[in-house]
Amino acid sequence: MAWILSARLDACPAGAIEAGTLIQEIRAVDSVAAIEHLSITVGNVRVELADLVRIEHTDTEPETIRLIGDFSRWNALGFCLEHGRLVIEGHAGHRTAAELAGGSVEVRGNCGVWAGAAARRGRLVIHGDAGDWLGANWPGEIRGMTGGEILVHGRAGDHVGVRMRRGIVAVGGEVGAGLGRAMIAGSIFVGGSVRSHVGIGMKRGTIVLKASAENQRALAVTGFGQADAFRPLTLDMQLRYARDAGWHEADSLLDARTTRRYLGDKLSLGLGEVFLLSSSNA
Amino acid sequence: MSGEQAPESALPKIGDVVIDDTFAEAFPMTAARVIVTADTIAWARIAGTVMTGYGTSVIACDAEAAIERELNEHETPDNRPGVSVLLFAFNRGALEKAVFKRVSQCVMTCPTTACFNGLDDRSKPIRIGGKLRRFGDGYQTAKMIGDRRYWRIPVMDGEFVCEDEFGTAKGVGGGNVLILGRTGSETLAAAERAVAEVRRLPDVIMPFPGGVVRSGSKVGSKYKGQIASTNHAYAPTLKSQVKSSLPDGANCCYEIVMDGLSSEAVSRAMAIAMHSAATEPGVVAISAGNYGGKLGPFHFRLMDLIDRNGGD
Repeated sequence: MAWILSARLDACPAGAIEAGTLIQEIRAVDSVAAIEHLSITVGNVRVELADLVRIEHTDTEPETIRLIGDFSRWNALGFCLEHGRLVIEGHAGHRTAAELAGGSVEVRGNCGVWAGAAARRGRLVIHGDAGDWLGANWPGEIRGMTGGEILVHGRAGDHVGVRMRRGIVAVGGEVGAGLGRAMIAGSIFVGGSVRSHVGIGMKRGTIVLKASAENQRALAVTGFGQADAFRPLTLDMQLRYARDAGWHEADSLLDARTTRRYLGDKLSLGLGEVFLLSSSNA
Repeated sequence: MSGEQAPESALPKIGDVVIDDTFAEAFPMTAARVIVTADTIAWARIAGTVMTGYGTSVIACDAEAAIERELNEHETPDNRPGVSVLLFAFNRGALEKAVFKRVSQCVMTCPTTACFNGLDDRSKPIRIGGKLRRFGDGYQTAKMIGDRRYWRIPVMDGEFVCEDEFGTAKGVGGGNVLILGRTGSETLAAAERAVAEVRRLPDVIMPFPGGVVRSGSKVGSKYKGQIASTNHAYAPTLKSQVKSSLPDGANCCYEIVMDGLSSEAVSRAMAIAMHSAATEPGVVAISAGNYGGKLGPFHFRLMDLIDRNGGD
């Protein structure tokens, strides 16, 4: 079964919409009428889904739920998704695809904070920008993302990939402070510049950046030391994998032939690695 | 091995070459495909060759192994040139031991190499990189790419990358043809031609030296504890002493043994080997080795393969 949900322009309620179980509830029913009667929380009020969206059935995309319009106040869309495909043609709210457990979520706009937080499997693709705590841990949790892939074509905020244990996060544009903080393992690729405190407290894992002056400054304040110019096979394998998944920003990193590898954070376990890639021979 | 010979005029032929009315008897085996890559095809070849050494027959080796084909940089997981190696053993446990030892001693030790699983079906895996990682002595790291885990093991030229698990498949071992010729040189030339043609095929290997066996064996021996002994019926020097299976005019026999990932792969390879050998000068007859049909469940009748010129 596949459904298209279009945001109603005449329905613009105040308050956030909590949609953490919406996709699972839609999958549990089998008619437009049943979906229309699903209730959803707006602020502190329960309303029927039909008050907010128009619902159509489609046979063209099996296992797909497509949301069309501005869903930037809809939080937790795709939360704990296990299979199938969710496409949001517009902005999405906070916690989009958090705890993603399989399938794919595609956002053709921006996302709020905690997108893909604590993801376990599956793929989240954000064509616009992502907020803070992308692929990070929930507050107080020891582990962040434990698997899956998050591919962002735009920018991302602070604290990306914090306490990440496994998986891939790739951001095409700029990233804020604290990228990969306390990372346990996994890989983060950034095509743009990063702000301060890259990989601070990082135990293991891989962060790949371009060798710009700004990125070098961001690395300088943390406990990393240059080790060598070694470029692992797996780095290019991961980049090609991300490129094949549609993250075309990988090309510029693949083309960069000069590699500098830094190990750290030496105040932590010190087995994390940050790569600065450059096209020049410097 | 083959039974009573019919009058030559009654036997089917490919050209002038008599095709014996017999069958090759083959056995189920467990197979793995290992992709070995390196900075250059030369080093990949070296690793593949060394890895498949002492891998001719499970009579005495831990696995039957050979290079299946060479791969260009677009066909490998790390975009480097490589070779595809097939290994066959009696069961998954034996295969895991053999592949692990061979990867650890022959591939990891070879400069610039990496090692990947080459079978899509990983429902019955063997653990290779996951065991080999301990060589890293705690400095090893793993990377997940999609649903595959790769181990990065620090070594003296950088890192050895090895996939965590390798898929296995139910294969067929022991497909064979016997090429019976007038002279040694003519028979060997025919065998070489057959090997060259079979090497073009996917999913099949010929694990013996250069793909050719000169010491074909029978089960058992007059000596206690000797599990295999010379196939005396095809030994030309014993023609006058034993009941020989060599037809008139045949003074040499070479065997080509083929292991494949499926019975179809083996039968196609046998057909190709049979037809390409039969076009060479000096070949008198083509036969096949079996054990009376009581040991192996796969019987490849040469008669059924006569019409499969080109393997199709």
